[in-house]
Parts: sequence; C-alpha cells; structure tokens
Amino acid sequence: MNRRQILIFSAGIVACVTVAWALVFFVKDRRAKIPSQGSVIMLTAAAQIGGSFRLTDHTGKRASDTDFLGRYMLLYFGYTFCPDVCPAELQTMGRTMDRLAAKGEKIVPVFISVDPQRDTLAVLKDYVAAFHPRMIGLTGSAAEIAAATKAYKVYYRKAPGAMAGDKDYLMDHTSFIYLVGPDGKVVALFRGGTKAEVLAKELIRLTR
Amino acid sequence: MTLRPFSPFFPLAVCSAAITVLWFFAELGAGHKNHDAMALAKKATKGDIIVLRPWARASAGRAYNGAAYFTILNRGTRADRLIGSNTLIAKKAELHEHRMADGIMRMREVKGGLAISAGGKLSFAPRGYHVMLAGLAKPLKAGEGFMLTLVFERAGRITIHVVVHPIGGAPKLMPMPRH
Repeated sequence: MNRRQILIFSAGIVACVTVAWALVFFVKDRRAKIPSQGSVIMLTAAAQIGGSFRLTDHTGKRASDTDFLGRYMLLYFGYTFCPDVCPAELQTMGRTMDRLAAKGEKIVPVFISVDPQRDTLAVLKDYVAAFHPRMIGLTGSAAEIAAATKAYKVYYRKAPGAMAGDKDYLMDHTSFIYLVGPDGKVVALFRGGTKAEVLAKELIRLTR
Repeated sequence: MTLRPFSPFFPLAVCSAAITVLWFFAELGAGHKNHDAMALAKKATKGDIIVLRPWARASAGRAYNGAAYFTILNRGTRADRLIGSNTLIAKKAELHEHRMADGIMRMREVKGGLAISAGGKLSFAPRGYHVMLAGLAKPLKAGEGFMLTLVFERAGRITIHVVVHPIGGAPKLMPMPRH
C-alpha cells in the first residue's frame, strides 16, 4: 500500500468507528428518563409571589397566612388522590423536617389542597399525619382555594377525560415546594424531585 | 486476503465490528448495575424478561390511589413491549407517565405500551413511569405486599410480588464495589 492508500484507509476506519460510537451512544440513551433533579429557585423582589389566604386546617380551625408570620412555611400544593408526585414531594418534606430536627423548629410544613371537593377535613387529617406529625393540611371552599392558589401562581385543573360526576379524576398541577419567610414573602422555590439532603441543606442556609 | 481496503465490503465489515465491540463494552457497563440490583432484589423472571425490586409506597391516610415501581430488564435478543397491568387490590392498574411542561405535572396513561429493547432496561420510579393503582380496595400498609400482573407482548403475563415500603423509608440501593 502506498501512503495515499494508507491515509484513505485510516480515515475510513476513523469514520466507521465514529459512526458506530454515535449509533451506540444515542440509541442506547433513548430510555425512560425521570424528569431532571430539583434545584432551588431564589426569588427576586420583582418576581414576588405568595400572599394572603383564608383557609381551614385539618383540625377544623380557621387558618390564614398571618397566623404563620414570624415562622417559616415549607409549603406544597397538591391533592390526596394524587398517586405518585404529591406523596413523593410530601415524603421529601417529611424526611427533610426529620433531618433538620431542632434546626427545623421554626419551619412549619404545610399542605394546601387543590382539590377541596374530595379533600375533606377527615381525609386531610389522616393524610398529613402520615408524612410528618407537625404537617398542617389546609383546605377550604372552591373560592378560598382559588384565591390562595392565585397568590402563589399555582396551576391546577382536572385532567382531561374527567367527566362531571366523576369521583376518580386526576389533576394536573404545578409541583413546587415553597419556602415562605417569617414576613410572609416567598423566599425560594424548590423544583419537584429535590432530594431531602439537598432541601435540608438549603433550608439551613436560608433560615439562618 | 480477499478483503481489500477499497472493496465496498471492507468499511461495512469494520463498522459492524466497531458497533459490536462498542455495544459489548456498553453492555458490560450495564451489567455491573444489573449485578448490584440482582444481589439485593426480589425478582420475577419469565422468558427474557426480568422484573426487579417491585415496590410501592404505603398509603398516606385513606389515599385512594397508589403507584407501583420496579425495573424491567430484557435479557433477550428481541425487543418486547409492556402493554398492560392488572391487580386485584385496586379497581384498575394502568401504565402512566409524567409529562412536565412549564412546571406543570401532567400524569397520563401510556397508550400503546412501552417498548424495551433487546438487552435494554426500563425503570418505573417516582415522578417517572409508574403503574397507577386507581381505587385501592384498602390503603397499602408498610410491610405488606400484593400481587401485580404485568402483561408483555412477547413474554406474556408475569406476576410480581410488590412490597409496600413505609413513607420515609423507600429502599435505597447500596452501591456495590465496581468489580
């Protein structure tokens, strides 16, 4: 073989291997991917969310945002008929509170239902108790929930296919964990999927 | 030698060889993870399909819906498809996925099933694919278990025993030493 032939030959080999590698890499990677891991979103003054709400807690007592002033709220909006995401996030919140131990005393874990139709006080009480003894469940009339969710820019809606009178519907909803400061303003958001270790570290930092 | 560098077959032969070698090494890497899983897992096998570590979270209070998770391995040379699921502990068991867009979580049934390539792996995990158990007959209690049947296009029906884990205590895979 002369030099030119060797050069073409080598180039051919390199090209083949590159194509092969690309095929293997991209084809093998097309598998079920879990949505990306969580991270903290800090809010600037301009992007303020949060605000007032007037709801009822799982013991039947009236609760409003002002009741929480002076403490932090770790807040999640969801519904008890949620098969997967809500239990996962609330479980993270419960584990985070356990990890924080004494450092978490000034933080109240709160669950606000976006499904007041089915999330009655009795249902709510059993539900939050499963995640953390200090977790508070809040519900209210459709109008009260609408007001609370509007303040936090929470999207919630019955999933398509739900028919009137259906008792088994699922819901589409935004899924963030909110950290509300002692002044009632949202300090940060945590994306769904944030792990308890990460959340605990962030909370220690943010509630110092 | 009959295979000369500029004959049309030579590049083809090289490519095929390269693909095979690279795939082999990629599989080897995946093989390590499978060993970890299998060492700790409860598993069910039928034909080329292995279902590993089926688990579900205990119900919170009177939660009416639940979800089951597991990992599926296809050890065969042909792709298969998970096309359905059923169980006696809930009104229905459906294959579901989460579609997240603009921060909104939408849970939807996966119509048409889920493909698992030859030598491939399919993970069902929180916030991802899961079998939605709709209308539980009674709340799932930690420490208990229930039977769940998965229906595959080629492998047929595989019945697995799903272990219920406590809230705050989902199983953690301990990483094995890397050889």
